[in-house]
Amino acid sequence: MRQSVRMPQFGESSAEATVVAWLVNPGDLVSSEQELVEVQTEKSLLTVAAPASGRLSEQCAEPGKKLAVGDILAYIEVLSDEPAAKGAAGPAPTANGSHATANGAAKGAHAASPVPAGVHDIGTAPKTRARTLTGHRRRQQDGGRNDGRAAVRAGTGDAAFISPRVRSLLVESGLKVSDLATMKGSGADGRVTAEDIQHYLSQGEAMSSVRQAVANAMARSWTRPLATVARNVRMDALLAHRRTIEGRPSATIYAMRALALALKEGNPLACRLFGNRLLTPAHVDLAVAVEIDDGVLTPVVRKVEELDLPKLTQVVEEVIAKARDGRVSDAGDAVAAVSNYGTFGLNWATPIPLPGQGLILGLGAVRAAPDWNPATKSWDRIREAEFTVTFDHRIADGGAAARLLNALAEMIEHPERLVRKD
Amino acid sequence: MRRTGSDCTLISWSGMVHRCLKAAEVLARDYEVECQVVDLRCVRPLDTETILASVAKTGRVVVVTESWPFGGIAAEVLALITSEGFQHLDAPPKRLCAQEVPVPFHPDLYAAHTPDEMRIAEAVLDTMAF
Repeated sequence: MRQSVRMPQFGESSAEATVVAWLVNPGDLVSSEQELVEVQTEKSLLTVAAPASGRLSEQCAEPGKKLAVGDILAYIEVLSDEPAAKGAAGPAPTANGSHATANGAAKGAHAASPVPAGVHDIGTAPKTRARTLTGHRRRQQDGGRNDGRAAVRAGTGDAAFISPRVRSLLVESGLKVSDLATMKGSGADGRVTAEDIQHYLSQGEAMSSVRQAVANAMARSWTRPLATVARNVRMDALLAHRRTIEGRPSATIYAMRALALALKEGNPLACRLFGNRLLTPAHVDLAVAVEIDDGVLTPVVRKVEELDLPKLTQVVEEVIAKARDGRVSDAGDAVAAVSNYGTFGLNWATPIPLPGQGLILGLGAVRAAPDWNPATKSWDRIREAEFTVTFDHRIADGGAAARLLNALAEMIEHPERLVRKD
Repeated sequence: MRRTGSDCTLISWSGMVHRCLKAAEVLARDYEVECQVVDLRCVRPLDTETILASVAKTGRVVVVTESWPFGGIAAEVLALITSEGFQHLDAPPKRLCAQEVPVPFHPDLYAAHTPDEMRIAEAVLDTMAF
């Protein structure tokens, strides 16, 4: 019986592999699991092992040839009467026929009956049972032995098969097909079974709902082309100015107000993208990133451009306090978000805008820095912080982001412009 | 539901139920395969709820009938399973039917014609090996 050796699936990612060198010559005897050929995938050099014992009758690919998963690498002439891996699932018709004849002749009665070939099966039932038994047990042992081996056993064409049950379990549990590559398969041909997935999932603990929501939002957001621009902003004027304002607004408040006014001046990043349509909201609604125990909440503050600094301070403090209690009264649409990662001592970061929002403004930590003063020809000690704008590059380009950031920096450096003149 | 198990579902009705139960005993004793045996009792209306619940539990199914395969009730049951329970399947659903020959008169030939315990057990093991 001739057994084909097919290119196995090495993990989920590679669809093809290149033959590098044959380790066995045509005509050589090979044993099951013996390494036959070296192949190169995108990632590494691997060996393919024989699916059955026998004589290598034909090599079907020269070194250097690229084969898709499932393509035939070689043929093995199976010498022993032990059925090959695939044959074990159902007794090979020829082998079955010969057993039937032998058994029938022994019994004498059936041999004389001119009955259809299939009917002989009943005479061979005990025999077939024994064969199925060995076949059944052998498969299980194979599955166990195959675990953790360096050489990947050559597939019989369906090693990468994902049963409908496994596929629906993947969807249910939020796994991707590529995750299967990291699991040990205990099924036939090393296939991953539903039990394997359940075992895999039972290892960790469940993500909290907040964490899941953040994970989903970030993954959705990451499908867009995002770019980041950054610049230093002098903070001295702001730090002096905030003492004069009721409620001593934080840098975040100043930044929110400056961002709202800068967007209101007509920057293209004030738009939100719907399909291939840009929509400019009538008001600037901004989300504030608030860190809580196991995630980030983003409550929204409405009509930020209409709130003066003391009012904005009060509103933002309210929504942050509510969010820390796990209550967000308004998490609706906003045009942008503000994240003050400077509170963690970070100088700069590249936060990800929320899905549906075109940009996120990031505030770095305020730090002392030298600044050259040409008038006195000396270094002045100033305080500055790095501001970053991470934006959806589909809506606007770096120039627009730079103009927005510059306009914002200008206002932060002259905070009196942020005070509403009534 | 005549017997509960978690590995494979055996669906049959009438006389074949008894052979399925015997096969299930053999499978449990010798092969450590626990079969769920579903007795349809009535084929129209078909107890779709029980069939689909059992397939959802085991993911593998063998339908056993003493009738011919072509255009039969077994085909109807399999059509139900593949169209409404596809997401539960771990292996191709299988049916075990009589030989496609006229029903023989001789007892030996009749025994060969209809599925027996051993062939049911064999079909289950094939399904398990997939």
